[in-house]
Amino acid sequence: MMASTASMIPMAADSVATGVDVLSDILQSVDPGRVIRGGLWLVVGLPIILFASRRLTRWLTELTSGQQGLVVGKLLLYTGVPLIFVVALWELGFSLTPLLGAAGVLGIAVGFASQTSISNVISGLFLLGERPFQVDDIIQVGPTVGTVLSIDTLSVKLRTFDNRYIRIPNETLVKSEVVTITRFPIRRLDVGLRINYQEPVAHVREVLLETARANPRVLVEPMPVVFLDAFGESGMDIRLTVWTVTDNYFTLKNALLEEIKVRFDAEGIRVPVPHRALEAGGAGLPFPVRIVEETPEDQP
Amino acid sequence: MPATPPTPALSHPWGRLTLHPEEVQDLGIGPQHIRLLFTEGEVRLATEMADPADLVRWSRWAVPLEGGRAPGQVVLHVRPSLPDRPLLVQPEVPFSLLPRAEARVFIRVPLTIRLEIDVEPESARPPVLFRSLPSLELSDTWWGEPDHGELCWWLETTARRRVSPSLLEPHLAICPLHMVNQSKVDLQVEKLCFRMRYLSLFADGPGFWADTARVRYQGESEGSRIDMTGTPPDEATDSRLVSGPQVTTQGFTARTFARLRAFQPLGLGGPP
Repeated sequence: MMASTASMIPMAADSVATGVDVLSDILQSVDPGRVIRGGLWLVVGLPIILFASRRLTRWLTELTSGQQGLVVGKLLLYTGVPLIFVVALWELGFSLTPLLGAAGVLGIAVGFASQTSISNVISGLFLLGERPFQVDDIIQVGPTVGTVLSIDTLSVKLRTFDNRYIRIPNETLVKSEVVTITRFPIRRLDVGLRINYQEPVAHVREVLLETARANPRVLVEPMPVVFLDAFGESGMDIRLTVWTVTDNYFTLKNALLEEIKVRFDAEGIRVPVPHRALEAGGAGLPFPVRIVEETPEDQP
Repeated sequence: MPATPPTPALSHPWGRLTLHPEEVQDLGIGPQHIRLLFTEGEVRLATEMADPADLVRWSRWAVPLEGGRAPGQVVLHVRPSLPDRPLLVQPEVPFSLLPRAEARVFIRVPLTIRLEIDVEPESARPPVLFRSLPSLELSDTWWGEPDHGELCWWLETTARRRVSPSLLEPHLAICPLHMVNQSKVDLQVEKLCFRMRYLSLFADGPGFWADTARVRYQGESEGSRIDMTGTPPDEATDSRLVSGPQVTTQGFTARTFARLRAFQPLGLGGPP
C-alpha cells in the first residue's frame, strides 16, 4: 500500500509539470495584443449593445408602440451579444470554422427540439408586422375574451374580465380567428326582443326608438333602427340596433335593456312566455273527452 | 391653449362666487341645476338636469388648508365656455345654397359650465378647474366613417337668418355661420359639422356670442375652407372677450356638410 502511494506521487508531479508546460506553451503562443483586443470587445462591446438595446426600445416605444419597441430591442440584444462573443473569440485566436460547424450541428439539433418555440417566435413577428391588435385592445380568441396585456416573443398574455391571466401561444393566434373588439371607435349594439302577436308592431317600433333616442349614449347618427326579424313559435322577434362609442358599449347595453323593460311595462307591451296551442277539432270548443267502459268480453 | 383672459364682469349666474361655511348656494343655468356647499374644509357639489328636488347626490372636493386650518371661505368662478366637442348641427328645415350663393345663419349653442376654485385669491395663480358641466344635455353622435371619425354632440337648430336681443340667453351662445357655395352644384345644408374649439366667446349683456365662422364649400371631394374672424359679430353691441379659441389657426380645410341619409348606403343601420 505504502509502495503504491509512493509511486503515485511522482506520477502526479509529472502530470502537474506537463500541465504547466502546456499552459506555458499556450501563453507563449498567445499574442498579448489580441488578448487585449478580445477583452476590449467584451468589456466595451457588451455594454454598448445593452445600452443600444435599451435606447432603441425607449425610442421606438415613444415613436410607435411599446410592444414593437420591446421586440426590436430584444432582437438587437439577442443578435448583438452572440456576435460580440464570436468576434472576441476570433480576436483571441480561436478558429471560428470548427465553432461555426459545431454551431450549425447544434442549431439543427436545437431546431428539431424547439420547433414549436421557433414557430411561436416567427408567428410573433407576423403578429407585430400585421398588427391585428395592440396592447390594451380587447380581443376574442375562440371562447376567450380579454384585454391584451403584452405581445411577447412566444405568446400573448390576456386578462379576462373575471380577472384570469391567460397565455395564448403566438402560433395559435396566427392560425385562429381573432376578433379585435375595440379596433373601431364605434360599435353597433343589437337588442333582440320577442313580443306577443297581439301587439301592434308600429307602436312597439316607436316605443323602442323613443327609448333609444332618450339615452344620450346612443349615437343619433348612425341612427337607431328597428327590424321585425321573424315570426317565432310564441311571438314576433324584433331587433333594435343602435350605435355607440365602443367604450360605452357595455354600460349602454345594461342601461338600455333596463330602460326598455320600464317603457314596455309603462306601455303595457307584453313579452310572451313560450306556449303551445293544441287544436281540438273546432275553434272555441271544449276539448272532447270520451269515456269508454270496458266489458268483461274486452278483457284479455 | 392660449391663456384665459381675466373673466369680465359677467351677469348672474356667471362670475365670481364666495362660499361661506355651511352656506348652501343654488344656481340655475339653463336646465342645469347646481347646488354648492362649503363644509368641513371641502366643497360639495350636486347637479341635476331635470328636477332640482333631486339635488341630493353630493360630489366632494377638499380644498387646500390655510396655515394648517380650513379656510374661512372659498372663492369660486363659474365660467362659460363653448362645448368641448364639435357639434353636428341639423337645421329643422333643410335649405340649399345655389352655386355662388351666400347665406348667414345663427346657431344657438348650449354653453359648458366650468366650475373653478380660486385656491389663492390674493395671488396671481389661475383658478383650478374642478368640474365641467353641460348647461343642456346633448346626445352623442358620430361624424365620419365607421372606422374613423369624430365624436360630436348632436344639435337641432332653427338656423335663424336674423337674431333679436330677446334670443340672448345666459346658457346659450349665438354662433354666426357664414356659408359660401363656391362649387358648381347646389349645396344641400341638411347636416353640418361645426367645430367649436376654433371659436372665441364674447359676453354681451345677458347672453353670449361666438365669432363668425366663414365656411366656403368647394365641392364634395374638395371639402370646405373654414376661417374664423376672431372678432365679435356686428350684432354684438356691447361685447367683451370671455375666452379665446382653444386652438388657434389661420384657417383649415375639412369636410363640413353631409346629407342626412349619407350613412344608409354604408349599411350602418342595416342588418349584419
